[in-house]
Amino acid sequence: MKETIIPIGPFHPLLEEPELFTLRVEGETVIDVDVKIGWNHRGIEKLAQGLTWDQVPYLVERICGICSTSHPYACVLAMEEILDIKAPLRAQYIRSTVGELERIHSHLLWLGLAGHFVGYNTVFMWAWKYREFVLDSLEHLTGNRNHYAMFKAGGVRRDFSQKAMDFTMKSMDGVEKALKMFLGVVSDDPVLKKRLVGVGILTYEDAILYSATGPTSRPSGVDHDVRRDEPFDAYDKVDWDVVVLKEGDVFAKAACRILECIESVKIIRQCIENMPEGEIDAGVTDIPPGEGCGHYEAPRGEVFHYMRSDGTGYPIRHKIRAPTFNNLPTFKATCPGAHIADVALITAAIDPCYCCTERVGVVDNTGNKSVLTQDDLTKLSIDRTFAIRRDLGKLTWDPYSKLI
Amino acid sequence: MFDKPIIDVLKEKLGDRIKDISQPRERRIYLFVDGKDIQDAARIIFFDMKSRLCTATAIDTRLGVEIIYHFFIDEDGMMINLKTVAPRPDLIIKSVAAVFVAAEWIEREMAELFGVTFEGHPDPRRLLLADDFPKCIYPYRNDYPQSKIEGFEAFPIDSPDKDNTNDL
Repeated sequence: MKETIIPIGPFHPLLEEPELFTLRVEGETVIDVDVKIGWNHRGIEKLAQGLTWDQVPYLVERICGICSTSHPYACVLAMEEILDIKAPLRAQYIRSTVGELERIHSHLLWLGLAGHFVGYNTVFMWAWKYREFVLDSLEHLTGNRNHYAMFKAGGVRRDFSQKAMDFTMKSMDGVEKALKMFLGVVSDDPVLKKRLVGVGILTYEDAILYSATGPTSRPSGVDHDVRRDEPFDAYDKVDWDVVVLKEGDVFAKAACRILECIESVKIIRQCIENMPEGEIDAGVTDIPPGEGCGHYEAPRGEVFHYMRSDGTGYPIRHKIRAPTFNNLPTFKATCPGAHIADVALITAAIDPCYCCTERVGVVDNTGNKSVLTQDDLTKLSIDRTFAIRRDLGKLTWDPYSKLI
Repeated sequence: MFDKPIIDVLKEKLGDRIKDISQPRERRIYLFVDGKDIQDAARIIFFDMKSRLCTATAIDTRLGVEIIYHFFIDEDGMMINLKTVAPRPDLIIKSVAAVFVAAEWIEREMAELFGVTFEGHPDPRRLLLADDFPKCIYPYRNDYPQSKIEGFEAFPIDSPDKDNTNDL
């Protein structure tokens, strides 16, 4: 059969990073995939070498709008390792609370987008509606919906007020109810099961070989979580579980994310209930010479920061590794053999924001060129869901009258 | 997972290939090996000791480019930092990506940003830099020119007197 090359990317409106996926397909089956990144390379590691130790957490916060707690978290852990200190107890609980709230809002954002791409726009609306409660809580607690600027070496910058903590406890009740409803929706729906089960399986062996992290590898049976394996801050003082599933397909990844949110609600409740009184800052003045590694379990996986100090006011090296850097290469293992309409889903299952593209050029070997838009690709994916629905006898209305 | 301290396991498995080893914190081990032993050491730490590769860091120093592979053993919560140096002037070192695929992207990144050549890398293309970025200029080195690079303009800026309102 004739082989066709389909480039997806590099620019699409739904992902914060431009990427180019070059798919080689035979008929409708993907046989190979190549990923190219780098359009958004901002040289942040080099920039950090020109900033003072106090400025660096602000810089790394701006790496990603969704993980704006995870990067400063890992960064201050690396600094505290050079200093060989720990933050005061109240600061530790505050840090963990902000980190977990961020996890819930990131996972809900992903869930909404995933719902949209399989043609379940109700899930999209509901997930983003309940995400607002989390963002409101963050605004009450830290002063901002995003980019909280809470972290500094040796503590946090702002204290929680009792009023804000009461508000968060109340909104967690609503969020937990919504999460349990989502869990029911995902696990009971036969159409969703048929659409997602067995799609894009990442095996245990591949997850180990590619060193994948977070909700990409845990649904494949890899039992690891930085928060448990190397306990820091409040994570060893509260009761919670690591979610590990066996299947490794898109369905398991969705279930894993929802279950993780429920664990996060547990952590937030315990942190706020047991919030100790006291200082929130250890009063760090300068960083001694040395080197330190900090890592934190971000919503998408492990964030890793390495810092080296020579005793001056600036780091001499600051290495940053975001989880997607390890998770993206797993497409080489998951995409071959998949249906072309599933590729958007498989890629979306790894990165919360990726689905389709602004424009996709379909080029065959003879040089003829046609252009698929983002809407076309979304429609391909939605059509597949409806085909399954029709087969199951569940289609009760005409899908084309209500498309996007 | 191990019945004795991991630092002792490392000493036993790697033997005299270790040039320097220390455990400055409870959960951090730093060890140094020669460039010729890096593949063996990485294979033993990754496969035999069941760790995962977090990432690798390159640092421009006076001796050459120092490379640190960060491994993390999830079961024991121990981070093993495997250090080596790609010596000046040619900065050639054996590729760990030839041993396991997890190191592929990070070595591509180090190769283009620091100019290290990884011998035996299965896919030595550029990862992050633009295709038309000049060869032999490495942005993360300390000698990277801060001024404009001859013959390369990343974002061509229109002259201020040109009327480009019609483009909108």
